[in-house]
Amino acid sequence: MATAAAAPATRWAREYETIYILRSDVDNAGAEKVVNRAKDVIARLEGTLTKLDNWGKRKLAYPIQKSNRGIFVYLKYVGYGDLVAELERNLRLLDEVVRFQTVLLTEDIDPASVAVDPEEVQYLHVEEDEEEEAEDAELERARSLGMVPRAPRAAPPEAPARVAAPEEGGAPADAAVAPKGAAEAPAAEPAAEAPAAEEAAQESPEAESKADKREEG
Amino acid sequence: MADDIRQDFDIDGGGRGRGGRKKAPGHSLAPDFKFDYKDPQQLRHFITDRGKITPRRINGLNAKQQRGLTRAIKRARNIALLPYTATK
Repeated sequence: MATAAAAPATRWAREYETIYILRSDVDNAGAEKVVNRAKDVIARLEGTLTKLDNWGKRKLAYPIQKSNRGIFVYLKYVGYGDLVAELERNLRLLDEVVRFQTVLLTEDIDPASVAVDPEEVQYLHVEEDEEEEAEDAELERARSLGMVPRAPRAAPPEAPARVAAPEEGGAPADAAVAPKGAAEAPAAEPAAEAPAAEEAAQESPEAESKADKREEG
Repeated sequence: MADDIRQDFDIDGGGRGRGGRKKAPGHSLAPDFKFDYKDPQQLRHFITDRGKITPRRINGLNAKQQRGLTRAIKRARNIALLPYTATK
């Protein structure tokens, strides 16, 4: 019962981190607007922002809303569960934000013990890398025209090497112990390999067209 | 043939053959290493060219690390730091 009485004294908070991605065409003013809104929400719901980091414009691992780039912003804060819900609701409302993700870092933090370094919560503008941007556009155009060469298939050069490896080890031993076996082997192998090669030749156009389809899709 | 298969999955390269096999990426990590989804460069060692998560058999992680790895990769995928799929 004593614990029940003591519970309201400290309301344990939790530490979260949120990363959100802005559309790549958002300018500095727009990015700042989103950060300020996030800060407002955190302040309103008694949270504490402990770290704010602008990762700048980065390449996305896959296109989101038909864009290959996005501005990543990282927030670390201490707050309660309702803060996350409210912050995410706000991010969802903003058209500039294309993706966000919140992760729980630590539980049961005493909110009074949280120290904030003011340097850590500055929102810094990251200089855009114009060159990279141009290169990206170039590549995109080339791809749309089908000018980018496809990566060579890795399988064919690898296969013969693997077949050859056991033979290297096996041949000298065979020659020493049983010359008869060694003599027979070359004769037997071409016969066995010929039908296989024919099959492969028949199958390959089909396999290639399949592979192409997959690449296009 | 059986030897071929064994060679394919022999990841520790313990004196097998002359060249041996490349050491699995998990072997160079401390046993208590924690994966961070914000570090895609580190995680890329543990996915295939196609973007799949490598099995423990290949990467040599222990069970706990593999769980952490899976979690980190899935988080990284969600926030577009790693691909869900990739064409090679």
